[in-house]
Amino acid sequence: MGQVWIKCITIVRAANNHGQTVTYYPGDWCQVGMYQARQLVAAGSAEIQNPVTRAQTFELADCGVVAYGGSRLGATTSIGTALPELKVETDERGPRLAFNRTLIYDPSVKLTTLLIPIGFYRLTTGWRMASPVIPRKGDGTEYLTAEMIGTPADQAATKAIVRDLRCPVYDPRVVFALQCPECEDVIAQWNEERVLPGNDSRLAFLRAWYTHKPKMCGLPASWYAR
Amino acid sequence: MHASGTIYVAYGPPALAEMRRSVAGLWQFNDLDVAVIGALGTQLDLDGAQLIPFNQPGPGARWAKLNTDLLAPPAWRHILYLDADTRVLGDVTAPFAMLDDGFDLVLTPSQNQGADVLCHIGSDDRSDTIDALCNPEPLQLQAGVMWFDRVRCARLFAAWREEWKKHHAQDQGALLRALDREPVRVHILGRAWNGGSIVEHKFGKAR
Repeated sequence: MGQVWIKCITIVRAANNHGQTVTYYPGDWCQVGMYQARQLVAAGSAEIQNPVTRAQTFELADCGVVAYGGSRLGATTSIGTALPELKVETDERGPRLAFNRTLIYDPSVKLTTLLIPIGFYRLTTGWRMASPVIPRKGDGTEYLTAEMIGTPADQAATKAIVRDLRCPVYDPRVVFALQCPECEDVIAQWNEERVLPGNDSRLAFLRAWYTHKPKMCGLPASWYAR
Repeated sequence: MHASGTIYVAYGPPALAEMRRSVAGLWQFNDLDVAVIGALGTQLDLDGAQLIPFNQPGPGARWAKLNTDLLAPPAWRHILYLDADTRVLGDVTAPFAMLDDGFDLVLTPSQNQGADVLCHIGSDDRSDTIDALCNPEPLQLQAGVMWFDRVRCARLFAAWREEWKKHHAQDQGALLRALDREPVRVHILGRAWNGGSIVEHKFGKAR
């Protein structure tokens, strides 16, 4: 990953573009590598003001991607290129929470890779899951609701649990989840139900999530790559 | 099933007129108690509705709205907050059952998303929100129709008030910041529930 701009809070010594060590003073701006940026921010010696840039410096050591679906191998290449420090696994058995913070990902959906660290960050503030709601219109102002998908039998099974089908559905192809009992239960139930004949994976996920209720941070349709 | 009721905020003749129209629809389809936060001495002209006098409405009466968890009748555990400019066109009680199921807050997303997210609030408020969330594209929520459990949302409302005080303006940015400080179990509903076939929303008509 490239260099990022930081604003120094204390005196910081960092190498410039010519490899010379330069002393920066509080209030100065300078560019440093991602690793040094993380260290300086963690030590309280610098801050990163652009929220997107700041997200790129988030610690991802406990994070990983579990890719599933027909094109799962493609994920290794695309995410691995964009975020080389992220562990990426493919699993033919289906989604599972392999890391403390896992992105369950079906690479058939295009995701803005810049937002992946932000998705993982969502799980550090008390949310246990984060997932986009599926858009119905391209501009993301309308959402697919549970009454619009699935067979009548699948809808009836869903309504029996969620009470009303006039609700958006989360996209199980993009789910950030914390390794915790609630999320494990969601994934286990979803894995069990999504493969049953006639079941829609999205409704199966909605039922599993509603049943176990991990705190879900909904994300907008703009999270899909444009 | 917890005791529940519906609360409105209405200050001034336009808001009171809108609120009465909303309550008429609410009572046509639902057997729900109603309380209205308003100025001391307000004539509600609604048999069966209770006035909750509160003389610190704040700009756009938002301070009153952000205090609904504290001001609502003490017996109510589950509360439906409705903007005065809503029109209830059907049964709005299913989300109360969702609160019974264990959700803390039930509401809908806003129509402003993506590049338009938080476009109607001040630029400082917007940038503060994006900065606090470290997320340039959060899901904006519409808090003009919401069901909540006042006990399980007490910390969220306290945080919401604190965040709102930073700008004293709109409340959606403050809500997102508060949710990030005090996450609760949120269930989001579709457009039908706010701006659709169950609850119509005539944005801005109460001003």
